[in-house]
Amino acid sequence: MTEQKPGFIVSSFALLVVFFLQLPVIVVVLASFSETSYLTIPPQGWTLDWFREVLTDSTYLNAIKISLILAVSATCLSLVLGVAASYAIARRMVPGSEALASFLMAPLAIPAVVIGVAMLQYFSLVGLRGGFVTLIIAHVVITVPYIVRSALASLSGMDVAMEEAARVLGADSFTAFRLVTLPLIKPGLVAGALFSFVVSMENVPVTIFLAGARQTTLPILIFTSVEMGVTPGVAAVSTLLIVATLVVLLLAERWTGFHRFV
Amino acid sequence: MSDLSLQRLAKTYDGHQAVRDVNLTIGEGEFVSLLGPSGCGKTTILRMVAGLITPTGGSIQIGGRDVTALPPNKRNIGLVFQSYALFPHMTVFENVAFGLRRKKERGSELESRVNEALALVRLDGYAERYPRQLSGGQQQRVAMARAIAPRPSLLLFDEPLSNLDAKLRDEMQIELKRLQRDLTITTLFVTHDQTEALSLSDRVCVMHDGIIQQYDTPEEVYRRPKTAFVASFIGKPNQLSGVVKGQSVEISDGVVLKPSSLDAKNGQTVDVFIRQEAVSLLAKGNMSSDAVAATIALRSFSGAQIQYVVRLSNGSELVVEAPSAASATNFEPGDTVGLDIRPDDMIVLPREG
Repeated sequence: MTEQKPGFIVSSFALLVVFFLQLPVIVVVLASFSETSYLTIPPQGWTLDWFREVLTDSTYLNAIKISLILAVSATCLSLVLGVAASYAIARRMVPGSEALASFLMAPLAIPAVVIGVAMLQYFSLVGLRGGFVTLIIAHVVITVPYIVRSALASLSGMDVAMEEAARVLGADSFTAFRLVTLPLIKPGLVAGALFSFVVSMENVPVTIFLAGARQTTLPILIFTSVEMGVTPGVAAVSTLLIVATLVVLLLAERWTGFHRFV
Repeated sequence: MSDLSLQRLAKTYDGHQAVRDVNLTIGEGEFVSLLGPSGCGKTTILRMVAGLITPTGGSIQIGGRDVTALPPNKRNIGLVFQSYALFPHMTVFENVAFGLRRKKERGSELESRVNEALALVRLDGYAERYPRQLSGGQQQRVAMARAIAPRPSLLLFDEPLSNLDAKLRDEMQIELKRLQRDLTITTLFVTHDQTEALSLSDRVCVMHDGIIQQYDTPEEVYRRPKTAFVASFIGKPNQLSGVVKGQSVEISDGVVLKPSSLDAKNGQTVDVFIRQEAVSLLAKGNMSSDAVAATIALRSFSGAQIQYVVRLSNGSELVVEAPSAASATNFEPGDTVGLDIRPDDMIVLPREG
C-alpha cells in the first residue's frame, strides 16, 4: 500500500489549527524582545535586555533553582516508586493489579485544583504544612502516572521468558531485573521521566496551594508577577521556560522515539 | 552430570489438575522426551523442574539433591525456550557469557568457554553480532550455546524447534542429537511432535491429561503401545472396532482380522489399530485367503509415498501408505484390491469404559 499524501485543503486546515493553538506562545516569545516596558505586539524594536534583567534577578534565579530541584527530586522518586509498582502490576505479583493501576493513574483524570486542595487539607491534618517535603510528595503524586504509563507499556511489550532465562542461568530476581528487564524498558522509562520532569516544572494549580514563601517555583513566580502587570520580563522568563521544555522534548524524541509512549 | 527424579509431582491451577502425581526417573546422560498434545501437562512439568513454577505436591531431585524448594538460579540447569528468549541488548558473546558470569568466570577462562560453546553449535565468528542480525536457526543455536556454556547438570528444552520451518527443523534435529551425544548431558525435551520425540530420545514419556500414559523406548512406544491413547496418538493409525472371536477379531460380517497375539477374552469388544504402512495392497488376482477385500476410494501421490483411501465392505475406510517405486503396482480409484495386513503390526487393545 502506498502512503497517500493529504490534499491541499486538509494540509492548510491542519496548519491553521496548529497556528491558532500556538498563537499565544508566539505572542509571548515575540513580546519578550520588545524595547518597551509594557507588552506589545508587534514588538517595538529588538532587545535582549529583558532576558538579561531576568537572568540577573535573584528572585527569578532562586525560583528557577527551586523548580529544578523540585522537578529532579520528584521525577527520581516517581521513577523508583512507579517502576516498582508497574513491575508488580505487570507481573501480577499483587491481587487487584488492574485496580491498583487505575488508582495510580487517577491523578490524570482528577482536576489539578482538586488535588491541590486535597493535598493541602491532608498535609494540615497530618501536621506537615508548608515544607519543601510536602511539595515533593505532591509532585510525585502528579508525575507518577506518566512513569507508570510508559513503564507498563514497556513491560507488557517484553517477553517474560527473557527474565526467566536470566534466572535459570543463575541470576537472582534482582540481578535478572537489573541486567535484562531494566535495559529493555529503559527507552520507555527515559520518555516517562522526561515527561514527568516537564509536568513538575510547569505545574501551577497543585503547587500554588502548597508552596510557602520560601518555595516559590518559576511558574508560581510568573503567575504572581502577572497579577502586578504583564511586563516583557515575564514574557522573557516564559520564553526561557518554553525553550527549555522544547529542548527536553526534542531530546527525548531523538533518544527514544518517545511519541510511542505518550 | 546427574539424573533427574520426580516423585508424586503435582500441579493444580484453580481446581484444574494440570499434572497428577507424576513419577519419572531419567538416568544420567539420558535423553528423554515428554510427548503429548497441548494441555497434557508436559510444559508444566518442565517449568516445575526449572523452578519457574512451584508444584502443589511432590518432589524434584537432581543428582540425588532435593531442589523442590530452590529458586531457578540455584538449580544449575540449562533451558532452551520456544521463543529462544535471547537478550536483544547483548551481543551473541554476552548472551552466551551470561550464565558463566553468574558463576564468577572472568577473563581468558570466560572467553575460551564462550568460544568453546559457540564452536559446538558451529557459530564461531558470530560472537560480536546481535541476535536481531541472525536468522531463526542461528538464534536457536545461540540459545543452545547459552544453555550449555555453564555446564549445567540438566538440560531442558521447551518445544525448541517449533518456530523453525520444516527444512531447518530437520537440520536442527540432527544437530541436537549430535550435540547431546557429544556432551552426554541428562536432557528433558518437551514436544508435541512425535517424529522429533521418537528420533531424538533414548526414552519417550507419552502424556495425556496430566498423567503418564507410557514411558518406554521409542520402538516400544511405537510398536507396543500400552493404552488406546498412545496407540492413536503415535503414528497415523487407522482405528477399527470389533469383537473377539477365538483367535481373530470380527470387524463386521465378512471382515475378519487375525492379529499375531491376542490378549482379550472371547466376545470382548476391542479396538484394533493398524498403521498406514503396515498394510500391503494386493491386486485382485493374487489375493491370499486371509486378505481383506476392499475398493480404492481415493489416491494421492506425495513423492516417496502414495496414499490410498480404501473402503471395506462394511463401509469403513482405511488410509494405506504404499511406497511409490516405479516397479510397484499402481491402483486407480474403483479398483478392487486385497488388504494384506501384517499380523505383527495389528495392535489390539480392549475398549475402555
